[in-house]
Amino acid sequence: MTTLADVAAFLPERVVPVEEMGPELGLTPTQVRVLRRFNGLGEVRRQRPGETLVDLLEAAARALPSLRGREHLVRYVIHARGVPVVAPYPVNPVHELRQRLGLTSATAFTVTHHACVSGLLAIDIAGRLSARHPDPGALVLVVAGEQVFTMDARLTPDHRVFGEGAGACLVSAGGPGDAVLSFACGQRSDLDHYSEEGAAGAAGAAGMDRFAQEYTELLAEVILAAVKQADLSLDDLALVLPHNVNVVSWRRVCRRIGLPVDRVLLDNVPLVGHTPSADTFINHASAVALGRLTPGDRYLTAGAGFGAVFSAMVLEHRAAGHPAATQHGSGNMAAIEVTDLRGRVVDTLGVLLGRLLGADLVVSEETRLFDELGLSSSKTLELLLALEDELDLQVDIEDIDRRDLVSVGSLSDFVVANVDGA
Amino acid sequence: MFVTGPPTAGTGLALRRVAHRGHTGPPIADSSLATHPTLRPYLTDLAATRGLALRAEVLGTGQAYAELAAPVVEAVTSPDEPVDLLVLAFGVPDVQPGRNAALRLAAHCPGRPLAFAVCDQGPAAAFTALGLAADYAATGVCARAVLVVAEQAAVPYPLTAQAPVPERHAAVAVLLESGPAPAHVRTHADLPPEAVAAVLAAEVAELTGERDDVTLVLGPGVGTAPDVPGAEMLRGTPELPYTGAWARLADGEPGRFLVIADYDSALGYLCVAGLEPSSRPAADLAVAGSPGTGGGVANMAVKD
Repeated sequence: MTTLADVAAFLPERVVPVEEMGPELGLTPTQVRVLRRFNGLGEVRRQRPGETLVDLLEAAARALPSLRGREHLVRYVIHARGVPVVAPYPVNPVHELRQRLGLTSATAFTVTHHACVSGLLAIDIAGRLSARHPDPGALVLVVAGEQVFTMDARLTPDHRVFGEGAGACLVSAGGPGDAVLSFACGQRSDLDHYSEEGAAGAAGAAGMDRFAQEYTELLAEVILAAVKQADLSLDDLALVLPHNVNVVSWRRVCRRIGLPVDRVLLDNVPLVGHTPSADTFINHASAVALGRLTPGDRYLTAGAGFGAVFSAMVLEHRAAGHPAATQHGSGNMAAIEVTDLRGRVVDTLGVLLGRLLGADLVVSEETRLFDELGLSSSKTLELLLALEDELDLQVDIEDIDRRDLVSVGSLSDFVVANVDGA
Repeated sequence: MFVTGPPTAGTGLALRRVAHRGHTGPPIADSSLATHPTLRPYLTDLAATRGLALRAEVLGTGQAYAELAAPVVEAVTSPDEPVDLLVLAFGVPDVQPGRNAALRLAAHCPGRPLAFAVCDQGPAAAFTALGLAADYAATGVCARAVLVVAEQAAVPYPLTAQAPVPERHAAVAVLLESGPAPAHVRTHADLPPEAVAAVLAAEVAELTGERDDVTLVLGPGVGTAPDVPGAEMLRGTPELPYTGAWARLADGEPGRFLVIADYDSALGYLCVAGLEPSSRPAADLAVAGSPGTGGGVANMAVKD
């Protein structure tokens, strides 16, 4: 059985609040506030200038407690990478890493085209390599992590912010360590944001929109498939290690499949952000450090990425704890007094939409936000943020879905029903 | 959806069909995707990670692997034969570096195969991809696989080290399916050039044993061919360092045991693979519109 003999993670020390990233990412102050307020993102980690991708990956590999002294058993080194090309050819990070770690007799390569869940694919591949290797003690070193070296259009930070971090694990065909019980992967290249005219083209934008629309259902499908393949039910899962895109999307997935959201380790979302391919490893380290995983626990890790890929893996925790550092996030909602709130919300939305789209705009409760006004989901969140400022209230958007965003009236109903403290 | 539990016992893999594009006939033109305005800032940032400047004369040229390889994938597959796995191997980056081209290619296969790419290993990546297909078959989750190898000639910044660069764009697709014998892939890492001849001879001897029905296909990195009595010898063109040898897999006499080998002096990998041809009757080998060669493995040059 495929076994994670050891798991480790590394986060650079430099902390960058989302507010500092705004200019770099071309975000308006309002968009930055949406990231923090509604998507639960607060800060990310970044390497210092001059540090390289290999530095990042090496730090994670060296954090594996059991690698030292077992280098001779490592037969493969796999870099799991979401962005297919991160260095000018023929610069070769995985071979530089192999050299630094003294694993020169190992076969090294990169696995990619699975976006931000390439790490789970790499574990599946590593399990098959170790199962087929003539030496039953053979190990496969999987490393995952990337630098945020460019502002590609595919990294448009509508609902997520990319941080830098890395993970590593040693995979074996058995022995002590977390056992992989199942793996499910769905691929939908028709949801690709890279259209023939490029990511910024209309077809690319349509692909991203469809990705957003189908995201919850497709992620739910692979989660349920992986749980079923493991012959378990959701109730059997002690914990879910998410990809750290944002808090809101995980609440939706939990609601869709009937999983209590407190079983998803969301602590790292505001503190680390989304690290391509490495979230599973970082969250695993945090879960062990926080005592959220104990031997015998079954847990699931899942995520998705543009292109589009949806993956989930069920494991059983059998290892002793690994040292890891993490912090707890928290969020506090202010209570307000509600008086004739709905009328004020409708009126204020009208004023705000006029500011956004032009003073001549005539808005009624029936005005359709997407179809008539051409708003996007992210623009609607900005609208909500402005509404909060105008009315000095806070809205809990945990239960919001597309039906609430149909019209000014439906959005007003939602706001009234979900004012925090009401 | 690909769903799996722990690895189980599976099957071997045999070579069924090969299709190639860009190896004969006029060169494949550059892709219009190479001119997209988003590429320049991406490539500028990419080159800057190593202090390099872009080569203006190369910008706007090149090929995208999803479009380059789609015809060869379609040529080796047929609608009534679902594919379980597609592995894309490449060395030189796609001209559209951010796209998940393997997933795009999977959409051209029946059966919604699990698809991914292997890279950062020079010419050895194709052997690794073949080995992974064999591993997925041997662990019970793959009865039919497509190996895709692609290369394109545009590198829009100076090379910082020795590395193969193709002279034109080309792609190969190889259809593999369940068979009684495993596909053997042997990889030697960190092998110095002076050791290649002896190690290759030993590997080929072990793979072929006493067989006298061997076709040996050598990549451009192999200098001295091993002595295999009675073997048919084929060479991949050095103009296409990543796909040249793979395009020749079905050029030999039908029904022979196939051995393919290559050496990459830049990264130090010697790779040797042994494959049985499919035992299907010759009439079953071709897909519609692409006649087979009469037995063993169907070979198709996709016309542009």
